[in-house]
Amino acid sequence: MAADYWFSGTQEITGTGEILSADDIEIRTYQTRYSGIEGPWTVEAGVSWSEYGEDYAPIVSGEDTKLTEETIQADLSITRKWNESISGTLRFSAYDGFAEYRSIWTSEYYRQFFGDFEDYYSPDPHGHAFGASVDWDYLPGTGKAVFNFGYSRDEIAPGWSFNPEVGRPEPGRENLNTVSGSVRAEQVLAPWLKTGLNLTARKTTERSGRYGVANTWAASAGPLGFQINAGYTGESPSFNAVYASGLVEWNFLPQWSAYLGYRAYQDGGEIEASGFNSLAPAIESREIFGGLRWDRGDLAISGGVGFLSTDYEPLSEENEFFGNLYKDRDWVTFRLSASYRF
Amino acid sequence: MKKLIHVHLLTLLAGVAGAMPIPVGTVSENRTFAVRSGTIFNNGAINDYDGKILVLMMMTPWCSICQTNSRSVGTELLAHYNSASRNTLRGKNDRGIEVVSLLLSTEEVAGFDSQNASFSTNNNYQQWGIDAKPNRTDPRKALGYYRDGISATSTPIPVGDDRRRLVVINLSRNSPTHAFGQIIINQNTFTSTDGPAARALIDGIQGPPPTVSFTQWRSNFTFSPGTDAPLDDADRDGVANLLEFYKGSHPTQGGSRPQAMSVDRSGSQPKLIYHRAKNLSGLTILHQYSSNLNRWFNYLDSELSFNVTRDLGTTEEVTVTLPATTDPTRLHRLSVTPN
Repeated sequence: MAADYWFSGTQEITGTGEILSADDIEIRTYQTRYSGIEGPWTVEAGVSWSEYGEDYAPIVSGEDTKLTEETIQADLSITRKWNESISGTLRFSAYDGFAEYRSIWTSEYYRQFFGDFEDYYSPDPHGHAFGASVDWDYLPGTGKAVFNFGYSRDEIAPGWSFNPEVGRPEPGRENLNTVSGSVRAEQVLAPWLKTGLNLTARKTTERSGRYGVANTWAASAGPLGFQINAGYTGESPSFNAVYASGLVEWNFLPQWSAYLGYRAYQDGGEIEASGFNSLAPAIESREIFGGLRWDRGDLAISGGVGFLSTDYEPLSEENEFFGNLYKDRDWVTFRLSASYRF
Repeated sequence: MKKLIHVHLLTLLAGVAGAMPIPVGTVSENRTFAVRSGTIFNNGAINDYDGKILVLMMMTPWCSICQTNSRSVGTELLAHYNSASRNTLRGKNDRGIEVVSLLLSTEEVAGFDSQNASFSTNNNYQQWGIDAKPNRTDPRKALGYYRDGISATSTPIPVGDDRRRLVVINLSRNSPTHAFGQIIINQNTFTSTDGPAARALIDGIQGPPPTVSFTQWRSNFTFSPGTDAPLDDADRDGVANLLEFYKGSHPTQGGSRPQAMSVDRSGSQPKLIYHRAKNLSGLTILHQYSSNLNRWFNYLDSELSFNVTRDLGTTEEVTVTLPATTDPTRLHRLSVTPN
C-alpha cells in the first residue's frame, strides 16, 4: 500500500496550528510537515506560515497603528542511515519575513522616526540556514550522541540612527552570520529512566560566543511519564539565562493521554552598550500548559492550551521609547495538531 | 600673516573655553527662531509671548536623552499647568499668569518635521518650531545663546553632546518679582525629579497688581448728584474727575489738586516730570506738543523714554525723556481719554 505513494517506508503528514495571544499582540502560525522513509533515507520537509498582528503604541512620539506582517518559512532535511549506529543529516531552511514580533515593533519605531527621509528604506528581513548532524548510537537502544553544526545568514531589519555630520539617517548592521554547534548525549540508565545532556555554542557577527548547557531527565511509571529539564545560557559580557521545566504525562486510556507542564525562564537582559538601544531588559517568565492527545496509531490528534506570563524589568529612562514593547504581558497559547502515518 | 592667524585661533579657542550658559536671573535677548504654522514656518521671537511665562524646550530629535528630557518637561510642567483639575488656573501659574510652551528642534532638516510635530503633540507642547530661520538656515543660535552665552550675531560653537536645554522666561510685564524677559530656568538636563523645583520657580512669578478702572475708582467716593462723569469737576478745583483719577488725587476735595507737570531742560533732551496713579486701566495716554496752543501733535511712544523715578506709594513720579528739539517755544501736555 505504502509503495503506491512517494516512499516505500513509513510516511507521515502533520498539520499544526498555533495561536499566541496577548491583549495587544497576536501571532498565528500554521505549519505542515511531511516525512518519508525510503530504505536508508529519510526525507523531512515543512512549510510554515506566520501572521503577526500588533498594536503599535509609541510612548514618546509617533502614532498608534496596527501592524500586520506575514512570514513564510520552509525547511528540508535528508537523513542517511549508514549502519546500525551511524546516520547523517543535511538540513536547509529559508524564510522571508520578520522572525519575531519584537523586530516588527522596533522597525515601526524607526519607520515613524526616519520614514520622511529619502535615505530611509523599509526592511526586508529574510534568511537561510544550512546544517549537518551526525547521530551516533554508540550503545544502540541505550546510548546515543548527536553532533550538530549549523550556519545561518540573516538579513535583518536594521536599527537606524541620524548622522549629523552628513545630515541623514543611516542604517545599522543589516545582516548577521551565525555559526553554531552542539553535542547532545542521551543515555538510558534504566528501563524507566533516561537522561540527556546538551551542549551548545554559537557565534554571531560582532558578538561574543554564546554557550549553553541543558540537562534533561525522563522517567516513566506505569501510565505516568515525567520529564524535567534545566539549562543555562551565557554570553560575554553580561548575558545570563537560566530556565527549567517539568512535565507530567498520563496515559489514562489506551489511545488517550493528557499532559501538564510548567516552564520558568529568567535572564538578566540582552547585552547592551550604554545609551539608547532597543534591546530587551531583564525578564522573568512563567508558563503553565496542558493538553490532550489521542493516538490511534496511524492518526493522532493533540490540542493544548498554555498561560504564559512575562515580567520585564523597567527600562532605563533613555530607553523608555520601547516601554510598550517590553511591558509585562499575559499570553495565552492554543495549539492543535494532527498527524497521519501511512 | 602666520602670526596673525595664530592670534585669531587663540582668540577663538579662548572664547570657546570661556563659554558659559546665560545665568538664571539675566534678562534674555529677544532671540528669534521659526515657529511652525500649518505646513510652513513663520518668524518667531521670545517677545512674541509678551505677558506670559514661556517654557522653551530645545531638543535634538535624534538624541534619545534629549527626547527623554523634553518628555519630562511635558509631563512635569506642561501637563501640570494644562490639567483640567486646575480649574480657573488651567494654563496658568499659581499666580494666574498664562504659561505657554514651545518646543524648538535644534535639527533643522525637514525629515524630522513630522517627528517633531508628533512629539510636541504627544508631550503637551502648544507650539513647535526649529532653532533656525524659517528657511532652515542659521541653526542652533538660540541653543548656542542659552547654553554658551553666544550673542545674537555670533556663530555658535559646535553643539557637541549637549543638545538639549530647558529655558523658562518671564514675559509678564510689571511683575513685582521678576523683570520682563528674566530667565527663570536655564538647564540642560531635566528629569522627573526636577519637576517640583521647576514648578515652584514658575509659580513664584507674580503678575502685575490688579488694575483699577475709572468706574471702580469712582465708586470709592461720594459725589454730589450729576458730578461723577469723567469730564465733570466734582470739587471745582479745575481738574476733571478723569484727570484726578489718572493723577491719583481726590475728586471731591478741592484741596487735593494733582501736582503740576514740570519740564527739565537741563540736559540735551528735555524731560517731562509728572505724577500718576499706579495700576490704572481703561485710559489712553498721549504725550502731545504744540508751538502755538492751537495745533497739537502726538509724540510716538518710540520717540519717548519712560522712567519711574520715584515711588510715592499709590502714585509714582514718571520722567519722560523727549526728543531733542530746536523749537524754542514748544509746549507739552498730556492727553488722558477713557477707552
